[in-house]
Amino acid sequence: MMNAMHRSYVRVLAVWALTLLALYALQRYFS
Amino acid sequence: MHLFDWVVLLGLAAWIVYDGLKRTKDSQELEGYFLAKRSIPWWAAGISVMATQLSAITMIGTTGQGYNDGLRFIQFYFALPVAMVLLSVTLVPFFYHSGVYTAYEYLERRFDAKTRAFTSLLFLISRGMSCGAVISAPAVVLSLVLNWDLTTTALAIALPAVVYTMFGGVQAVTWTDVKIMTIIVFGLFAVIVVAILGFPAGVSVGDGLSIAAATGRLRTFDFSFDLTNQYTFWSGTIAALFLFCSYFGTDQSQVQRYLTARSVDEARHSLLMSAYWKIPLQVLVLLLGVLVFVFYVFTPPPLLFSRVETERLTTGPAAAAYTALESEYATALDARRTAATDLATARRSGDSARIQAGRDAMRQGDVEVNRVRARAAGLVREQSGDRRFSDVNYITPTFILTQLPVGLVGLLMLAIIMAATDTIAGELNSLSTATVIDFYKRWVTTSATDAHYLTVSKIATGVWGLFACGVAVWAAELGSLIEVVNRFGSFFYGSILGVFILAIGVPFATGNGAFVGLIAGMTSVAWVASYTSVAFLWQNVVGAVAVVITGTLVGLMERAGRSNVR
Repeated sequence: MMNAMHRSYVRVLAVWALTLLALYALQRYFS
Repeated sequence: MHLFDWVVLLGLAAWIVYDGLKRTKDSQELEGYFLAKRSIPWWAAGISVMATQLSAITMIGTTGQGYNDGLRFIQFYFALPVAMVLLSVTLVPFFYHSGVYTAYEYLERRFDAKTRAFTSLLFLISRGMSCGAVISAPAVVLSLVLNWDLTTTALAIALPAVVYTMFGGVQAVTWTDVKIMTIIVFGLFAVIVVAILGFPAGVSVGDGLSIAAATGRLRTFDFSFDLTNQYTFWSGTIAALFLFCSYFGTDQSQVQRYLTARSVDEARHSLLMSAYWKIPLQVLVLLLGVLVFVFYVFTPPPLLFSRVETERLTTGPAAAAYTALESEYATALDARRTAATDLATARRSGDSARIQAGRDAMRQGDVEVNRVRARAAGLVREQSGDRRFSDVNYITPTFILTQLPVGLVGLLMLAIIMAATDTIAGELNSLSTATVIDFYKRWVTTSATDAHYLTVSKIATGVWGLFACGVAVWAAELGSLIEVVNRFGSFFYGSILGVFILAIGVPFATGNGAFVGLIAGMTSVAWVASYTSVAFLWQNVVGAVAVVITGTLVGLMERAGRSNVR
């Protein structure tokens, strides 16, 4: 079972991946 | 600046310092002064971590970089969230539970006194010098932009920091950081809104971004694997991971921010706050530069943003050459503006061939504008003899002073000055902590009252503040010395991370191993920096790996030696 802190780490990494994807999408959309 | 801007600047600055001091409690005890008696909420500690890194150089240099180069620089921060998670799992609980005041204090518990003293001394030297650079870079720009004398500007940046750090300790630093960060973020959004409102009718934000993209300014990812290039996806995710683990995990100016949190989980959450917000915040900073670029595509910018250099050129022997460049520049700007307008129109038509032609014309137009600007900068270098002259730091201050409405100019100038002030405050606080805890209390007067150590801490803060001001004011003369010290500091980042990896990850590592490893790591980085063109970020990997290998080998040899003796 994951505790609250572990869930925070997973959330951070998920948001990180989404941020990079968003930046990549921005680059692709305008080029 | 208008009188009302001065009222906003001075009024808000006075309130921030006053309120920071008012919120300070129990600062007559050492734990209250240095660690806020571990009472700071996680979000305030987290904002403080981010504020300490966001200096005036970010406000004027990074936004200028966005104007010139676009979003490419963001790759530098890609590893930061991963570093924060790694540190939250590994170093943060070690520091927090061991009850240390400084990161280096932990090294004495794990290894020995010499490793602690050496790492702390390296921190004091490199951070003390960088404090001067943090003041001098914006002071030089602001003194020219605002027509102030350099010493006055340096003092305007540093004195408030010295005062509230000296009297309020870490609590005043944290609470002023929170307010300054709020003003900075509000200011960044305000500049972005003003830049967008300045687009001509018929040019949307999408068109503006498309114009910027045509010049390559929205290119964020560079997947080429090149060890000599600082800004690639790989250096940003692999090499920068080592730098961020070192900076946030072992640099006292950062460690002290989260040691003030109420519990270990709150300390972790304060770090994770940067993990969430650092990349978006840096994107905002760079995007500001990109949108100011789009604004200046439609509103003719000066050939050089540095007013002083422009005046010098127009009144000096190169006046004729400069005037010729200005007329070339006007033609290039016209062509670029026409290309941008055509691209915006083509986007509305939806005709992909026209859009592509518009992009090509825009790119060509921008290349021509940049070529003329580069020649003008070359003229400055030639005439002034300043080989390092760059116009990049003058772009944002010029935009703020010439395009923002009264009131916002004062707020933004305050944001730039206070961005430097809060970075200095965090650093002075950590310099004073390391001086008192790692040296004075450890080697000079080992058992005295809290009141005694507090007095010494306040004196240390004041002395480091004076030292930083001195370095800032004499920065021009000390130029090469500061560079040497910064270079020396960069040798240290990866290596000190290696020492902490040894401390936590290698059970049989010894004090001698850590000490020899640290020297081997710094020597390796010095060699790589001097004899190869490997980019700075990768040097951190070299340092950390060299320390871990050397430290492990020395540890193994010592263990073998002890077994033989038995």
